Amino acid sequence: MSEFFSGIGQLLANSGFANLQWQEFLMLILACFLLYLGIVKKFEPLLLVPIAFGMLLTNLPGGELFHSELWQNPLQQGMAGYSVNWHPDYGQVLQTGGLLDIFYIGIKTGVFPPLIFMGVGAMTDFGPLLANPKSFLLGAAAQIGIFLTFIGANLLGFQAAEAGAIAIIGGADGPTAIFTASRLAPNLLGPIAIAAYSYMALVPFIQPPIMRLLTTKKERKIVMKQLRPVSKIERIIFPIVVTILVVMLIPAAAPLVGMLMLGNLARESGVVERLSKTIQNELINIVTILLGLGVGATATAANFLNLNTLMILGLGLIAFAIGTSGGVIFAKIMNKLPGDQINPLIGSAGVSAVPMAARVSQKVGREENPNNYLLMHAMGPNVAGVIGSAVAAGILISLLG
Amino acid sequence: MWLQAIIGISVVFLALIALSFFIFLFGKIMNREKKSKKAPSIKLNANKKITVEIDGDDELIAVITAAVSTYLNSNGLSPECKIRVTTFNRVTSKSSIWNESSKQELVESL
Repeated sequence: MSEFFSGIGQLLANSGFANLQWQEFLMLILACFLLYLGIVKKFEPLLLVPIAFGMLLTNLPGGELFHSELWQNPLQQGMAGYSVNWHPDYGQVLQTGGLLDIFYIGIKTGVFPPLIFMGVGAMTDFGPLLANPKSFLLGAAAQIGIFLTFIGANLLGFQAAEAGAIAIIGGADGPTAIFTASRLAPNLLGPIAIAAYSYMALVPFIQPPIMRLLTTKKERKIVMKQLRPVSKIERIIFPIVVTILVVMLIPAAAPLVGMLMLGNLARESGVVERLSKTIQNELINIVTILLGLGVGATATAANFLNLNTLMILGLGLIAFAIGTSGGVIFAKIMNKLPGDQINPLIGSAGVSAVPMAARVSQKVGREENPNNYLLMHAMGPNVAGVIGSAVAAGILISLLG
Repeated sequence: MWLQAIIGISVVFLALIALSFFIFLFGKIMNREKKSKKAPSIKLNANKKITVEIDGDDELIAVITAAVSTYLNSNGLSPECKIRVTTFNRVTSKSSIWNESSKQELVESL
């Protein structure tokens, strides 16, 4: 009988209940809160649900699904033998790693985000951008939030590479943020990804006040000229030209831009319908699950519960707000130049977050003039923002990596 | 740090302006090719033959003109009526509130 009790006792001693630290407990509550936001509040549920569940799994003691020590340089900066070019030992990861360690390989090696981008490309219609190439400028202007936040993060004491990874949240593009963070500051990946996806979901709340503040009633009422139809040849040539031009200019943007444009070419060429369907459905869904779980796994108590996380959330919000303002203000400047009038509300859509940001432009525009349909006009800067933030990511990686 | 930020935003602008310029030029070339093609001439066999000459930007104008002519003829309004559609523009919507709300629903379901 005593053996029975000692057996039970041993099991209990090894169980998670006996080993749970208060930090892990806090993380479990946070993971459940994120699950609530994803499921009940519908905050980007496709990604937030796997991320939050990965967070839940990684913080359950004894599960051994993720080992952050396998991914971190054991030597601190300044210690003897420290090298900047440290790489994780993938053999060791495969031998002793848990399930989420294996998924995380795809993020660490930079495979998953470009695959997601391929799906995004296959789902995106670049027609509105082709019909109004000026939209490119609005997509570029909205990236100013990234670079101003980069300066802000530097001033707050983050190292240059970390500051770059945090600033990319202002691009409002989940895969780009994850890709950049995995390259520049893998230790901050969890908070950065969670901030990026939460703010993308909060676009309808963050953007409208800024848009109203920066525009006059008269500007918001501007009705734009109808977009011209775009020929099939233009649609097919576009992804090829963008790939050549952008990759020649910023080689570090090649994985993101290359895959985005391959996905788009599959869509527009019309000859590989089977590939296009797989890219925008099965492939992106599978990769989303693996990416979400892998990102969530990095949000361990030790990585997440510190002042840095709060600063990242704050800086991300600032980056986002500046990006929105940048787009709106630039559209107002463009209105001062000769040419067709632009409704400045479409400028805010320059911060990617497709198609949410464009829908916000449409909604705010309709409040002033119920017969104004800005949606397609806003899709131009919106998809230009995707290219713009991928370009910005490439620049940050090549300057700071 | 300031230098890196300035280089960064400048290169983003440079890249996107280059793309914008290229797409703009390409769009112009494509449109010129389309315009230089002979304008379509449509003949209709209504009661009376109507020839519609169009030098506008595409066939849509021809179709609209033909439809209007046919309508006028078939209603006996004015068989001699000669019309020429030169341009077509979207007018401020005067559709019913039901139409508007269904349009809005469609946009929002995207």
